[in-house]
Amino acid sequence: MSVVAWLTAPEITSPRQARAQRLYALWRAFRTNPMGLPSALVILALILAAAAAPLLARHDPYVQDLATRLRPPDRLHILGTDELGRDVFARLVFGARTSLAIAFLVAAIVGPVGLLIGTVAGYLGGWTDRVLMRLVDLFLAFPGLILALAFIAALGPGVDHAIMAVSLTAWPPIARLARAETLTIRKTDYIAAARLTGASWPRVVLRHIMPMCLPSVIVRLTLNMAGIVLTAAGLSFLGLGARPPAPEWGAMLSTGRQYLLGAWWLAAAPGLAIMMLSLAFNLLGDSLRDALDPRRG
Amino acid sequence: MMTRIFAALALLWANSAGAATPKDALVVAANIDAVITLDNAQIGEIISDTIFTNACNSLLQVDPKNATHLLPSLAESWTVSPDRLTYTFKIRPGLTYPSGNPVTAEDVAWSMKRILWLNFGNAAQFTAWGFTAASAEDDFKALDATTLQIRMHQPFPESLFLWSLTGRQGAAVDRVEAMKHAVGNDYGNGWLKTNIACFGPWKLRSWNAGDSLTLERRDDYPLEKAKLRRLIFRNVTESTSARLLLEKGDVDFASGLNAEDLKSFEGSTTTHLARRTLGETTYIGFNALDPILGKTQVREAFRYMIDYDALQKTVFAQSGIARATPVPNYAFGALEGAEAQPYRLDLDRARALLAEAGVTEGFTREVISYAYSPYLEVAQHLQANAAKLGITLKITPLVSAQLLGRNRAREFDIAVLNWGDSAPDSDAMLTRHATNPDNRLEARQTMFPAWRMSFFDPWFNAAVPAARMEVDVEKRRAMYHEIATRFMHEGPNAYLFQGVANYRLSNAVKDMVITDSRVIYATATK
Amino acid sequence: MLAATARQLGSVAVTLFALLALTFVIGRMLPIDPVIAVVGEAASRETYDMVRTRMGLDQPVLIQFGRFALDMVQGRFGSAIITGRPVIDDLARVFPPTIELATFGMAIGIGVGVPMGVLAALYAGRWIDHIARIIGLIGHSAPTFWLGLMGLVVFYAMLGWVDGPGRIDDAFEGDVDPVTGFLLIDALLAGNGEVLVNAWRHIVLPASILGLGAAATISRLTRAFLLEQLGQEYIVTARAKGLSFARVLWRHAFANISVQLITVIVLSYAFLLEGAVLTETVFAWPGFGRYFTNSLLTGDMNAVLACTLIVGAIFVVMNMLADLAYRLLDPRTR
Repeated sequence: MSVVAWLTAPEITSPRQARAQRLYALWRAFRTNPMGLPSALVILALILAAAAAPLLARHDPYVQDLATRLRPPDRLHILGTDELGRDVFARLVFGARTSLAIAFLVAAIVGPVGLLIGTVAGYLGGWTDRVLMRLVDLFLAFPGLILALAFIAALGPGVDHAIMAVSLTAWPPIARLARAETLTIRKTDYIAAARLTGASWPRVVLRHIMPMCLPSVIVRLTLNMAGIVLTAAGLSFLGLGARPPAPEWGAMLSTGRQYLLGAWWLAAAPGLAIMMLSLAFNLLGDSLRDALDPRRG
Repeated sequence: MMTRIFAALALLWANSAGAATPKDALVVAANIDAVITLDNAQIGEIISDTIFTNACNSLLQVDPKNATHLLPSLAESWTVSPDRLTYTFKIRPGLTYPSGNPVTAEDVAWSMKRILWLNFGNAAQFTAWGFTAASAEDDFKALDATTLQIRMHQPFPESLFLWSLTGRQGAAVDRVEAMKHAVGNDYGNGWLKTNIACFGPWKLRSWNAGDSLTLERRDDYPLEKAKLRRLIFRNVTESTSARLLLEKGDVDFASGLNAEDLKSFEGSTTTHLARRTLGETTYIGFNALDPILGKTQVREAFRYMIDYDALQKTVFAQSGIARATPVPNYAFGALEGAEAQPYRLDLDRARALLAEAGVTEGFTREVISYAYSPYLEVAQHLQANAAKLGITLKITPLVSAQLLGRNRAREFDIAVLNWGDSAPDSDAMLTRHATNPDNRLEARQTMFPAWRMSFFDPWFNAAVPAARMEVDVEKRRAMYHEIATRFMHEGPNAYLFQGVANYRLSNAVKDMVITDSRVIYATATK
Repeated sequence: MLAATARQLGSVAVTLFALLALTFVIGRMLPIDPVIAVVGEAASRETYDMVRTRMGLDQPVLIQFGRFALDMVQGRFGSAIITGRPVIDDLARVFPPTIELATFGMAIGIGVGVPMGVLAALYAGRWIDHIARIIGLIGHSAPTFWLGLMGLVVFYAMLGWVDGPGRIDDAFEGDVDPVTGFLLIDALLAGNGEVLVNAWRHIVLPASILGLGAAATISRLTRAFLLEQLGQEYIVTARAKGLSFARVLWRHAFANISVQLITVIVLSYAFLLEGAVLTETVFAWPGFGRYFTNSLLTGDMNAVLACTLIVGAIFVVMNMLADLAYRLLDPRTR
């Protein structure tokens, strides 16, 4: 049996095949979306650029040269220099590391936490469900940025604290989604069968329910990444995220603000970069969602 | 009603061109975020002092044409006893506060005693002369409604003491009004934090913290009235905003423009430049309690990690004069030329000094700084050069209230700061920066940067007062040279630049008084 | 219906209580000594201890929480460090400008978002739909603070179409008596054209940028709701009966989605308050958002906690209102 045949066979013989089939269907739907692949490529390109930052940038993002401060873009510095004569392009490329790291770290925290809380609440129901969902409602009822800001006020500025604060505001939608998925999955024969074999509830949740919820959680996370990028940049813009001299887009924008009229490139470049990354995540998330649920437009 | 609404709407659609500032008001772009209090017993920041001293007359005022010459103000005349221990001031009769209460000698005496009793940092302005909260009742006395007598504990040079009474501590606070709002033992401090009740050409009209502060002319001011009806300080924290507002005619007067924005005004036909050297210094403070930073050679090493030339040509191009001493260049006894700035970027020298101090391994410290230019640039400049010697500096940018709060609580390693004192005598700066009356943490001598840095050296504690008491002018000058030179190398701070204020004024503004010690708005016309 | 409303009110009460607890926890995480914040650094040991006792900081945590909750519920938020005034007074001062900005922004959001969504639904898959989608995506993806800065450079500095940062030129400050607290309305009521023009030129840019995000959400959801309706049988039936398309669209389809739209609008309005934090910082708008960030940067915890609590409460109430509107207006649940 060829792989494609196995992936499209109407009779499913194993949970693995079921999962593989879902993924394959997703991929086929995704491939047809005009925005899907390009946005994925943009993100991939940014990741590669961040990884290969030392190769891409011709200048050290930290080396200062006061004599050449605030130079407009030219052949030597393609995006000009900043207030301390550092190359803006180099700082932008190295800054991608910080911005991407924040986004992915938040996702890495929020995904598992949201998934765990959502599936446990959905599967166990009763009081566990009520208490956990009340908690979710509480955080959902709150404007994310304001909550993040209040936490940073208490914890103090810094990238690590920014990651914690943003995570704190980003997990509830994931949990709610995972719970909704769990509610539909738990009624299936497949789960009933697993339960009949005498599997304990943690095992059922971990081995059977979580994998089924994973695709929609990942889609949701991708969509949320745009918001995470914007919130993190906003924190840095207010001076609560990355500290100098670390290159970070929000912080660069904040400095650029001081030289807005004389040196527009200082603010324009990081702003465009933030927009590009957030746009790419939005488009990718959109395409993934369309692929997963073709009914919704 | 409807007609009025329609008239207003019609104007809206007509959409007149951008608004100019009104004819009878002067709009000043300034960073008033730093205004924490308007009580002269408590004020510590330059901008608060500017607002207060414009709104309130002091006993005496500095002659705008000659900084060493004093003119009458609240006091119409004064005499000093031959032994320089008794000062008698004749208060101008018939003056009133905005509340209508009369200005009496008793008020002036009370205002001064109040500063001692409240014992905020500003008490140092009197304790420096030997006054104490306990002796205040006997030191400041009203002999009658218009006669104020001040009793000295030591015979200081009289010009020095008289000059101190031109500052905010020499103002007359409306005692009756303030005591109406007193809570507990606060002598009205809670109320005066957000109100101004004193005798002067302006009264406070409104203050929206972080937004704007408006002074209004007192039409019943019996001396020379302010020419314009209102003086508005608009909170502008960024140079770019100040520049834009001035370009668009939304403000008349902009300070704090950075080098780039100042340059953009070159050739401007609608604005002109006014400059003055300030009694202000940008410096890096080191916490002397720190086991490493406490070493004299380590601090000296840091002084060689700064490229003064490069900073002078760029960040401080218009706004500073490189000077490694806090004493402003125009003050009596100030160091001059190479004596005032012997340092240059020399990392080898710095490395040698570190080795001399026994610091051979790298270390990590936090640098706190204001979040804007030039402070953040200075912090990053130092960071980059220190990194070459294996020293890791972590920068935490803070807003002013927080930065000063941590500095005053001694909760910092290294801080990029500024300090202003426009007194035209070395005594003022050296007293605050080099001497420290009590180094204990609970002594809270926050008005002494020396205390904030935990710097305590008996030699300076003896030498500065000795110089102050010296009557022979040349001898006194020589003493200041010696103190300043020693302090430059042994002190807790690395002084970088003396400030030069660059004001950009709308051409419509005329007759403002801008001198080395003051900016006076009351004379301005439009 | 009644029971459901009661249950909802109960759940709102629980949420509000949890909100208090959350705020309390944030306050306790602070590295700042609340006693020092009150007595100042120069206080003696005795004063310090006295205030500490008076503030109840020697009590068990639960009792402290009780006192905190009681204070907050009664609006006793304490004094703000930066302004030296009670936080509650500050809030009364900074809220009207924000509400004015957010309302203006919302008007733009609705005015642009709804027509764009309708057009996108009618021409689904065509170029209008794509353009609407791109505008929507930019509204979602561009950092508002950056758009604000660029907007200032282009429309204020270069073109001079609008006025700069701030709510009004200082020259006019206090020229109009605050009747409603909304400058545009106050100026209109007073018939003061100059103030009206000035206030208008100040608010247009920040409100547009704030409204862009709302327009993106509203247009996207309008499109989705309308597409769903257009695919329903009754539309097909109505058209078959010979009713004009415009009539079908407005009388039937649009009427059916209006309830959902109102819900969305109420919720986006709440989120505009969040957007105001960054927008107001960029535009020096003397509102809630700037007050909040200033307090935050100064470490003024009384103000930060009060702001957090109030915005949380507004969100909870807005959510409840949206739910209520849905239940009261939707024919299917009535």
